[in-house]
Amino acid sequence: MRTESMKVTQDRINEFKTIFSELKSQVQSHFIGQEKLIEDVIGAFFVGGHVLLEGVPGLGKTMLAKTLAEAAGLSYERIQCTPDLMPSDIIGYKTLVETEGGSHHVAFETGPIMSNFILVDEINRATPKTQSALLEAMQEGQVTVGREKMKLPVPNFFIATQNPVEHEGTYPLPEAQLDRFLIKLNVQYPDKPDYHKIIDLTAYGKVAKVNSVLTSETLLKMQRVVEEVEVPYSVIDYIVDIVRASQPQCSGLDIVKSNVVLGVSPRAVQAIVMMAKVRSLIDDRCSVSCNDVKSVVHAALRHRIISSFAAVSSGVDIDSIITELVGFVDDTK
Amino acid sequence: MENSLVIEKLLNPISRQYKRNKIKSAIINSINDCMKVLLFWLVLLVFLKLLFADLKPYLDAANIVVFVGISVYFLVVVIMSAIDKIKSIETALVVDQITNPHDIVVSGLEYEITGRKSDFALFSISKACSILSDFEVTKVCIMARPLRYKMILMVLFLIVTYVLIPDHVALLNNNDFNADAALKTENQLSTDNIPGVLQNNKTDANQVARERSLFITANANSQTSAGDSNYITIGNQENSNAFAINQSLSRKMVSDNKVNEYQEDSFQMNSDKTASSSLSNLSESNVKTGDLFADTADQDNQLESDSNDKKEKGNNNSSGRSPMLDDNASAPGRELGRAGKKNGKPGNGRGGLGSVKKSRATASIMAGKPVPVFIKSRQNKGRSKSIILNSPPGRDIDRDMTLADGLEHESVIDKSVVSEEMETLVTNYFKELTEYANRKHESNTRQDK
Repeated sequence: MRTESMKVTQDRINEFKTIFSELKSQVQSHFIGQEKLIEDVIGAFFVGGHVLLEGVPGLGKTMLAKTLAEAAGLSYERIQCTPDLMPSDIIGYKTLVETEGGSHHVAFETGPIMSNFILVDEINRATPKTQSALLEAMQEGQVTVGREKMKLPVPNFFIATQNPVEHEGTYPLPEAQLDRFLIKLNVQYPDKPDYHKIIDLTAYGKVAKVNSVLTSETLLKMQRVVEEVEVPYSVIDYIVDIVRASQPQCSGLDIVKSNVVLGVSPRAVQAIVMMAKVRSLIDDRCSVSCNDVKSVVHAALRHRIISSFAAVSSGVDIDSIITELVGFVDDTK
Repeated sequence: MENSLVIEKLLNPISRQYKRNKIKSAIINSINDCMKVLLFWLVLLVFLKLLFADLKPYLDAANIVVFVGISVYFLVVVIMSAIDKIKSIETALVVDQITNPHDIVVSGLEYEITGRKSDFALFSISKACSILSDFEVTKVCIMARPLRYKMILMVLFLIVTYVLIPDHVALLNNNDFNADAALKTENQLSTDNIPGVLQNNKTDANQVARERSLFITANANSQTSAGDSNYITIGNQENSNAFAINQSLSRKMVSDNKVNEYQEDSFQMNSDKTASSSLSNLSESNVKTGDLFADTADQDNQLESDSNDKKEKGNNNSSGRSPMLDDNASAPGRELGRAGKKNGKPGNGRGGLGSVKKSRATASIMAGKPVPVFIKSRQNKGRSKSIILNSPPGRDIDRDMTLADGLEHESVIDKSVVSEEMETLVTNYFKELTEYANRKHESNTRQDK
C-alpha cells in the first residue's frame, strides 16, 4: 500500500517535471537565454501567481509572455496601456443591443480581462484609475461592473511589463498594486553567445511555431501538485525570520533600519513558500529546503520592500538589502 | 506508523560515531587552547625568573595555580563533551551537510517526529531513509583544528629552560640591575652560602692575587691629571672582593681595548712602584685586578665629569651666563614664518603652523602653569579679507579738471535762491536787532552808574 502511494507520488512529481521542462523548452525556442528568469515565470504560472517583468525596451518581455501564453494553450489577451486607457477598456462596458425582433436591451460587452492569460504591457503608462481596475481582477479573480460581479476564467494569469528607464508620462504602481504580483523579475541583457542565437533565430525567418503543451485542466492539476508539497516548520521559521527582518520596526539589521521605509507583508511569506515549492519539485524533491527559499527570495521580495529616499540617493538597491537579509538570518536552526 | 522512528534508528550509529569524533575534537581543541595559555605563561615565567629572583617562591605558587587551572579546564571540556547528549536533528544536519544541500534527512526526520502523513511527507521520509541507509558512518567527521605540534614543542622547550635556569644566574642578573641590592646581598652572603660559581670566581681572583704577590699602594697623582689621589687599598675582605670581581666582569665583559691597555700599563707601573715601595702595607692592602679594572673605568667617567664641571665653572665665572658649550644649537630666530620642520630639523616653535609653541608669559603667570599656545590653521591660503579704511574724502578723479568744471561745480553748490532785496532786508533786520541790544545794554549800564 505504501509502495503504491510512493509510486503515485513519484509519478506526479515526474509529470510535473515533464510538463515544466516541455513548457520551458517551448519558451526557450523563442526567448533566448535567461534560464532562471524563464523558470521563475513558469513557476509563478504553475502557482497561479502574477508576474511583473521589468526591463529596458527590446529585451523580449512581451515576447516571453506571448510565447508562454501560446505554449500554455490558453486564451490570451494583450492590453497595451496608455494614459488615456480607461477601466472600461479593460473590464468591459454595458451597451444597448438591438435584438432580432427589434427590441433593445442592455448587454455587457466583456473587455480583454476576461481571458486566461493577460499581458498588461507597460502597465506603468496607465493612469492610477485604470491600474486600480486591475486590483480586484488580480486578487479576487473577478470584476465588478455596476452591481454585477463576474468571475474571470480559471486559470487566470497576469503578466505585466514595465520600463524602469522612461519616467515621463508614467504612473508608478502603488504599493498595493505591486503587492498583488507574486514575483517581480528583472529582465537582463542576454549573454554574448545568446546574441548569436537571437540573430540566427530572427534574421533568417527561422522562427518556429510554438506548440501548445498544456491545457487549462493540466495546469490546474499541476497547481494542486505544487500545493501538496510539504514545507518543514524549520523552513517556515526561516522564511518568517527573513520577512520579519525586512520590517524596520522589528529588524536587527542596520541596513534595513536605515534604508527601508516599508517591510514586506505576510503575503510575501505565501509567495516565497509557493515559489520554493516549485523549486523543490523541479529538483525532484517534495519538501522545501532553505536553499529553495534562497533561490526565490529576491524575486518574491524585490517589489515589496519600499526603500527610503536616503537609500535611493545613496545608491542602495533593494536586491543588496535582500542579500543582506538572507545572510543575516540563520538557516541552520 | 510504519515509518515511526525509522530515521532515528538509522541515525543512531551515525550519532555514536559523531559523538566519538566530537570528543576527539574537543580533546584536540582543548589541548591547543591549553598550550596557548601555557606558552604565554611560560614565557612570562622565564622572564620573571631571570629578572626577579626574589619572586621565586611566588612564581612557584603561581605555577601550581596555573597548571592546576589548565588541567581542570582540560578535564572539564573533555568530560562535558563526553556527557553531552547528541540530538538526532544534529546528526541529521551533519548527514545532510555531507550528502545533500537540501536538508532531506532533516526534513524527513521532522515529518516523522511531527507525524505528518501526507503522500509528499511520506515520500520525503522514504527519501531520507534511503539516504541514511546508503550513508557510510566513516564519513562523519568534525572539522577540528589540527593539533599544534610546534606549540607543544615550544612549551616543552620553555619548561626545560625554566627548570635549567640556575637560581644564582637570576640572582646575578638581579644584582646587575640593582647595585644597591647587590651590596645588601653581598653583606648577607656568608661563605657557606655563596653559590658554586661565585666561590669559583672568588677562588680564582684570590689565586691571581697570590700568584702575582701584588701589594700595591698606588699614588693617583702620578696616574691621573685631575690631581686627585687615588689609593687602591684592598683588604682581606675576600667575599666582597670576589663579588666585586664578578660584578665588574659582568659589567665590563665587552670593555674596549683602551681600557685594557690602560689597565695593563697601570698594572705595570704599579708593580714597578710596589717593588721599590715599602712592604708595610702588605698586611693592609691587597690589590686585585678586578678592582683595578673597575676603578679605571670609574676614572674615565670621573675625567668626563671633571671636564664638564670645568666648563660649567667657566660659564659661571664669566660676566654673564652664556649657554653651555655643549649647547651649540642656535637661538631660535625671531622672524615670522612657518614653524614645524625646517631643513629636516625640528621647528623652533615660532610663527606659523606647528605643534606646541612657547608658553605665553602672562597667561602662564596668571594660570600658574605653562600655557601652551596652539595655532590651528591650514596650510592652504585662507579666505581673502578686505579691509575698509576710514579715509578722508579726497579727489579720486585723475583727469585734469578744467576751469569750467570747477565753476560749474561751485556754481551749482553756491547757487542762491534768495533775492538781493530779501537778503538786504534780512541783514538789516539782524543789524537792527544787534544795535537795539547794544543800546539797551548801554542804557542799563548808565542807570547802574
